[in-house]
Amino acid sequence: MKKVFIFIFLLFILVPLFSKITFNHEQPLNLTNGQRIILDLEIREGFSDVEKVTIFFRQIAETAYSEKEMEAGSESNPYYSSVMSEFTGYSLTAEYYFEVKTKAGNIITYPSIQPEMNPLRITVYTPQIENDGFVLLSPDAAFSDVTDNFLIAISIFAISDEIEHNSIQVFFDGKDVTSESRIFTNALTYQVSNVKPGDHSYYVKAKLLNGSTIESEHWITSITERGFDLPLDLSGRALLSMRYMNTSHDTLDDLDKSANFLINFKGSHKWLRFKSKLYLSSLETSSTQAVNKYSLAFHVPHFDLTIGDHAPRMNSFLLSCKNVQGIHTKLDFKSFRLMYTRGNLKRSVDGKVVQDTLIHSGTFKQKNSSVRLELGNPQSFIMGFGFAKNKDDIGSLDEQYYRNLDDSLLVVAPKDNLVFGTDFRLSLMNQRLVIGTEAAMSLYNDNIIDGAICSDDSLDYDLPFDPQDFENIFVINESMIPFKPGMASIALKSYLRLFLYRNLLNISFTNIGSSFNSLSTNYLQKDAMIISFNDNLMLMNNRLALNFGFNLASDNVDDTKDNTSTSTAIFTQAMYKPNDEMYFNINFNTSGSEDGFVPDSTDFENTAIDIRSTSISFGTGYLVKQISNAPTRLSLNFSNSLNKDNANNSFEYKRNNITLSAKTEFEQLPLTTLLSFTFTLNDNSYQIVESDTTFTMKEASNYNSIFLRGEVDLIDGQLKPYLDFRYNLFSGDIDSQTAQMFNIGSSYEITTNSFITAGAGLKLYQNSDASDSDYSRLNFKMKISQKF
Amino acid sequence: MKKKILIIILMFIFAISLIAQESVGIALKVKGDVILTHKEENLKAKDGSELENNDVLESKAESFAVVKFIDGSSVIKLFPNSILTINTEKTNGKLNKRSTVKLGELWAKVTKNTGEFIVDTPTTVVSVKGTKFVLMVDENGFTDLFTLDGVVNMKNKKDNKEADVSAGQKAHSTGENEIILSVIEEGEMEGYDVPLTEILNINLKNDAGEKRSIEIELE
Repeated sequence: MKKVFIFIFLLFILVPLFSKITFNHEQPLNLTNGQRIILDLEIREGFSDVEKVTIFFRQIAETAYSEKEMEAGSESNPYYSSVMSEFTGYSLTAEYYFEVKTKAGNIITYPSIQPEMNPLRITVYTPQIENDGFVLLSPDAAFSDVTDNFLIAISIFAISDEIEHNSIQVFFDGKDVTSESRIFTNALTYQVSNVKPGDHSYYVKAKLLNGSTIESEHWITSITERGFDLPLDLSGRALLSMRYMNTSHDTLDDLDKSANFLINFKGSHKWLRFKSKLYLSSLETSSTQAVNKYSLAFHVPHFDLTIGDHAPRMNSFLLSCKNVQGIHTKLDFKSFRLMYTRGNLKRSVDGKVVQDTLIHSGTFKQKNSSVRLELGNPQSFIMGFGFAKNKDDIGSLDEQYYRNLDDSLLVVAPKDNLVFGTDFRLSLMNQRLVIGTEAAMSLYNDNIIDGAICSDDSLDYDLPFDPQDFENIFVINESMIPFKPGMASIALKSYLRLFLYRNLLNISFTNIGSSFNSLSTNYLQKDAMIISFNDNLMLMNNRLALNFGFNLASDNVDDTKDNTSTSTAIFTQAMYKPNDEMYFNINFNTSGSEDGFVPDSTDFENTAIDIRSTSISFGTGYLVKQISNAPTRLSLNFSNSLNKDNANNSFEYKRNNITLSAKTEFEQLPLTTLLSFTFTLNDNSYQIVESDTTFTMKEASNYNSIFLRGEVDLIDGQLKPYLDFRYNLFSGDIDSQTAQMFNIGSSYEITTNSFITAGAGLKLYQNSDASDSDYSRLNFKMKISQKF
Repeated sequence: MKKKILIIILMFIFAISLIAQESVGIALKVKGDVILTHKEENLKAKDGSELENNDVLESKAESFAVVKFIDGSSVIKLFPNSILTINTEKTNGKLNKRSTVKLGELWAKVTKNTGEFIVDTPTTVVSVKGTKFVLMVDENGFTDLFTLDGVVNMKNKKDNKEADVSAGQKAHSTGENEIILSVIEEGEMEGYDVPLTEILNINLKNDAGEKRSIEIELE
């Protein structure tokens, strides 16, 4: 058994090495509280071999990861990107990892080793403590019509005696608009002109007489475009995107085209509010899970109804981070809430049968019904109870797609799952201290194809009831995972969050028994005890941000295994911004997994596990204002990583990466340029076995890349054409390869509501060691967006 | 010595003038023809106009102005054909508001515990602590008060007779004799273009210190 585990483990390690896909991810320095961020995964090699990239993400100490598919770039712009608007609400460190699915069906993750346990992390940078002395006078929801006239008026009456008036800075949508603002003794105003529909944020920054800097709350105002008068308030957005790719090489996938259409709207009429979302994709096919999504939601006082795709959250273990297509209702009162969800977690997907042979199995439709009752006030104390019922619908799949026709062997089995859960959360000290616990237990049957057993069946034991009477509730038969009273069937999570003196502390303890199963939770590591600690500290007037954390995870919760595997991860980050022009950032991560197994000299079947990953990165940046008319932001990043199998010496991967970039925003020209160099040195060694002999292979390779980009800002920012060029060179103990990539395109804001982007790219690939694999690839992308 | 005293006096006067020039309110919304008299200079009030002590707002026909005091606590809506003089005083960190309505009508919303809120009319003094009301002053200075929420105290200037006017009540005063109290009749407040819905602003702060505000419309 252990051998199987090691094989799977090594497979994950080695697939990235032998696959022709290599990636790079530049981790953002930090995540400023309330700001959106775009995460990119660069596919340095093998872009055309990638079917899709999914990003899994969560706030640290959350149990489950949410996931979403990333938007593909192109061969000439080889990135998968995702706008992480979900991070906007994070106050704790964000964790994420990438899962790359190749067209050959392989799954590769980044980071490659245990990404669920050792994900990438971004510290949430909490800006200066907001000062209550700033009071927003306008817009005032009762009087201001921001669509007609967006006037920002902020009072500094309460702090006017303590503030340095000439230090006041006003920011609107991240831009310093102080020079356009009127600053009075007790207040300031900024008249926003030509405001565009959407969310706009603004805040004020100032120095106090004592030298410290204070910052106001970041206010957000939504502007909706005034359209023709309807009896109801309606707004929305439609987006059409298309992509097309053509390759000059016959042996490669020569055509890839897709189109997506998204339309969402929201509106209100008196006490009724509603919103809708419809996403249609040409990639929708009956042979995979649904790509198209739709939802229609209504809200009236105390009641919500959603029809379609929705991801409700009812306790981490009941229903969390899973899309359910069905109906969702919520009764909502001050101290009482009742949620009910009914729908499908998966739809049925036929398998593939060729000449009576099942090539790959199908998927059963998986139904879900969940209920949650919540009592109490979310501001202080709440207690919740609920259950989730998940069951595969046997009738949804033709027998030929789950059973071999020749030997009648079941290839995929329908499952039944019942989860009961309870939780409480207590918030004290104006929610600065939050403690809570979530617990759940489950019943799980991993094969219900023959239904429930009958009490008449010859069993080794007597049942006090007939299981067939309860078949609709839960199918009891020989395949049911035994319910063991105790921790094995229980999932438990306790957490504490404390925010005190600019110090954000988060501690959680999670214990998930080996027999606990929940099909309605996106990711759940079974048989695991996890302790997570994370501390985020702001010092020196918030110029220094320190983050420290560790995760400790181990299996063998029930103490039924010979060895206990333990994973530890320690991560720390320091970020220093002495002023707005300069920053220094240093990261150190170390993680490892070991099982404490010591094989004796006669045991050739089992091997020990002791794998360790260490990475350190350093980054610095400086805005050089001294360059006449061309202020340039220089940045330098260096990272070093080592992944090693200490127990068996089966692999050792070393990687050094340096990136130097210069971004210039010309003052006299509407031009922004970016120039960056990347140099990566890989030094890998790994063992291969041939004819019972083990060889150690060494492979040193380099990756050099230069990137140039220019973007012009025309017609007051409405038209932004761009041109970029990238040159990649691979060398060393691998095939010598070069890739040249050209991209040209533009975005055009036709009106404040209409937006179009289009771009074309060309990639020229050459392999001097295998010239028959040379190719050129042309791609085209276009997006049209219309708000209403 | 005389020179020193003179300098101190001049500095004092300068300081006083500085204080006097402090902004005390902002015109949030102005519609139509509203004249702002600032230091005897007539200006056209507009959205965002800064208001200082002793500034006078005069709304002409089919015009109105919404004024928010600088501490964010109180809002006044001045209806057409009305004259309002703004006056405030900062005491113990709070802004005491003492405005004067010479003629016309106003609607006010006042937040509790944010300093005094007093409105002078030619005949009465209206004191408010956390409430909403409408005040009407006619050419004779006679004052009608309609309390929409909370309690408003009305006091005659001549005989100092006073009355507390609770929500749903109205009061009439000529400046002397009894203040006549009665119930606001249904539909009586119609035509006064004041927000029918109350915007309840809930400021949330999570354990990380993040702030979000939720606006709830209460009917």
